[in-house]
Amino acid sequence: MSDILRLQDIDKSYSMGEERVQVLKQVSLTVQAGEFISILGISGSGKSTLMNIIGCMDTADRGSYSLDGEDVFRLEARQLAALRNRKIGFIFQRYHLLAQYDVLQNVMMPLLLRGFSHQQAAPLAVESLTAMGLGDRLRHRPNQLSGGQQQRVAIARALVGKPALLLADEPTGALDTRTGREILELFRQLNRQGHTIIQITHDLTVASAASRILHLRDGVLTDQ
Amino acid sequence: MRISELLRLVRTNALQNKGRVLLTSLGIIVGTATIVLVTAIGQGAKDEAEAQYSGMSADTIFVNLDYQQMQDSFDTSRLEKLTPQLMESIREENPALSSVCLRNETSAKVQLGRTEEYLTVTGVTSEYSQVFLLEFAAGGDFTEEDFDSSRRVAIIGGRIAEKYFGSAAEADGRKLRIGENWFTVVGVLQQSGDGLKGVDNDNAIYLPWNTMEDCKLSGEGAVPQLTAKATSIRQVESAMKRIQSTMNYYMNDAHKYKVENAGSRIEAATRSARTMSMLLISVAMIVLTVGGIGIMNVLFVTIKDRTREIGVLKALGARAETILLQFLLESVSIGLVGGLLGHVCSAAGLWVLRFTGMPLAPSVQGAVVAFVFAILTSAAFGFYPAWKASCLKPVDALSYE
Repeated sequence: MSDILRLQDIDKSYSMGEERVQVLKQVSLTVQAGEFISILGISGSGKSTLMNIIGCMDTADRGSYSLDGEDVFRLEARQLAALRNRKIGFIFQRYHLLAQYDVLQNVMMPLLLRGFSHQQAAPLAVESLTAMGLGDRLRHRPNQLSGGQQQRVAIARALVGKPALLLADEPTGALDTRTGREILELFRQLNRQGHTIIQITHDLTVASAASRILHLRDGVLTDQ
Repeated sequence: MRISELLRLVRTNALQNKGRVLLTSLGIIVGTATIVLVTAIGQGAKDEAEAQYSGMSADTIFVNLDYQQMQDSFDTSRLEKLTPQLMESIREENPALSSVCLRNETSAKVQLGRTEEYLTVTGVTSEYSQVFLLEFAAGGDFTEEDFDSSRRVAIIGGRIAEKYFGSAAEADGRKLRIGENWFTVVGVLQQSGDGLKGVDNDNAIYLPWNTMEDCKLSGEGAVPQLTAKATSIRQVESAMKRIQSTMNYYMNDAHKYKVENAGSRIEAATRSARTMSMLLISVAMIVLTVGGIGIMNVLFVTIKDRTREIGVLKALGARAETILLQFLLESVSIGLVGGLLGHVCSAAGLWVLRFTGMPLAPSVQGAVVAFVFAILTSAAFGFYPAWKASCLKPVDALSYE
């Protein structure tokens, strides 16, 4: 199996007033294609920072990052945008669907941003939504759907561009236990179909859905 | 992202926020309507100024009282007046003049048919019809005899003939009474449609100079005006100088008169019309600018509201240019809506203004200019907020609450 993602010796610090806070310390992580990984950490452990770096939305002070063969830290903003669009499917805690567009438009968005036409994007988006069991909700607005449905729309949006990596940030955090479990089951199913998934969470139960769990404590990532 | 897809999203966005788009475009609506109305009013005033002097050839020279010299006293009864004798002297000493006449306007109670009204009655010397290029619809000009023996005859304007006698042909030969005296209409002037040559011939009643004197129709204070035509436009300057020198020689009050030519009068009239246009247009520009600032403010607020959306789009792979273009297009679409509604409003405004009798000349250019400015304003003022939006970092934008 090939490496999808390789983080090496990532350091990241922020200045908080006069103090300099080291958020990530020598973080290294290798993820192979087809893996389902949970990164478990309490708030303040550097979870969000790590998520932003993996998501190609932030850079590190030191270290290197290669995603599906691309040296991420060497890319310019335009190239990073294209990289996010092609390689990463984001799933956020609060779904982050765009309220003024309908479900279909939301799911088409990554493809439209890639330069697809409406005609090219629509069938793929419908396919992706149908796979999520939402084929009959195409013209609904996000606020007409339940939380679980909204998160499935977000997953359809994450999958529609056929990314190398699904990156989920507390995907069940805004859902009730039962719906959360359904979403996690969906993740396991997607993983069995061959999708590589990284999920970041503070909840051990949620983290257990993955085949490998990593702990992030005070900016240090360990297997235990 | 393809521009066609971006436009589709912008349209969806606008339709989802009809109220906001409409409110934001209010400034543009008012600005656009103002430009259209203002150009129509300005052009109308300019057209009227030009029409007033249309047909008046640039070789015409006027001698009028210089009203700027008259500041202290408007009492003209003791002023030295222009007389037919003086006019003859002016002509004799001036080979550059082809024709010259005196006009003496007064207001008198005139009985036409059964109605009696105060109208302007003008005494004229024989060459007036050449000077003013008059044409007759019925009857003809005064004869030498009419002038020499102060006959009780009159020539009336086309509109007066129509109003009081039915038509020009019917008016010819009829009688009218001014004061104690009855006059026979011997000629009716062709209607020119608008007050031209600075003189309203359509509503004029002309009498031979001597007849007017004989009947003592004009008051002590009436100031006759002299109008002359130069043999050619090139002679206007020298003809004016000669008139001035003749007057200086014969008259003590020559300095109280002003010799001017039609060209300068036309110029003055159109210049003041143009000044008014410019004034009105600058008002419209200010309105439009204020409208633009309104757009800018609303877009800034909108972008604050939509920070998270911008973050999501960036996370999904939107480039800065895409975000910039999206917000710019949203701003322009507000300008577009404002421009279109502004034109609708201006159409309504023009319809209302017609009832005021104000001269209006709505033009395609005015409409196009207004529309172009609506778009440009919205693009210009939309640019900064759009650029701000495009600069947001995806991380910051996503975590914005």
